[in-house]
Amino acid sequence: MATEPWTDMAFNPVLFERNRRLFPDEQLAKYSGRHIAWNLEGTCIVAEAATGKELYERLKELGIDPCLTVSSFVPDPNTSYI
Amino acid sequence: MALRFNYRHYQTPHPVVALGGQTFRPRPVVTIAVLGPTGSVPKDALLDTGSDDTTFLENVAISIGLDLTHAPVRYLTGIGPAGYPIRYAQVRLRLTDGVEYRDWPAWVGFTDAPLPFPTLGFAGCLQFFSEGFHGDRQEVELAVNSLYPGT
Repeated sequence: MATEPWTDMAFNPVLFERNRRLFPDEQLAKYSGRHIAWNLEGTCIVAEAATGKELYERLKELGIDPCLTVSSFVPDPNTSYI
Repeated sequence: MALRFNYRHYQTPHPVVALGGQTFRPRPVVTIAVLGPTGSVPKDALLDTGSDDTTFLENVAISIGLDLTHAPVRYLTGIGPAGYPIRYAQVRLRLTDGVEYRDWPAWVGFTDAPLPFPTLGFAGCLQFFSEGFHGDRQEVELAVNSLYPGT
């Protein structure tokens, strides 16, 4: 059924989205133009880097399994992305 | 039924001239899970009607246990440097708005190109949905269509 939540993933997308929305914009703004990794709960940012590739390497250096994070990008507010 | 997502608002310190001076940029970014032979990884990705393919960084393939050694290879182009290889493989994608849960098999591309966001383009994603990008209420609707191969 398309209305039944998945039970075979550590990631809960509904919880993540709810928490991510509560994350203060001013804190997120510190990462403008950077690639970031959220924890799976969406409550904090556990790593950041200039590129997605570097973010993956940074997570490995920190001993964090990339599968236990949600990677994202914080657009530079002075840049128009096309 | 349809998946419904609000556009994400990205605050700007200065008014956005092209948007009448408002102080944020709305973008149709969603969190999608990519599943492979050994696991899954969630990613924020851009719903992009201008993108031919659904694309992720190559390290996503590593994370979910996909071997791209013998994967078909093509090349990416767009704005900026062209010519990055893109390797294709089949994965499962999962997307939910908390009401509807969708899980489907998809051919996606993996690349080392410096993408800002992974793209949910036509192949692998938008081909399976009828989409509504509602600029007025900054919401996107995705309703599965007759080609949708998943659950």
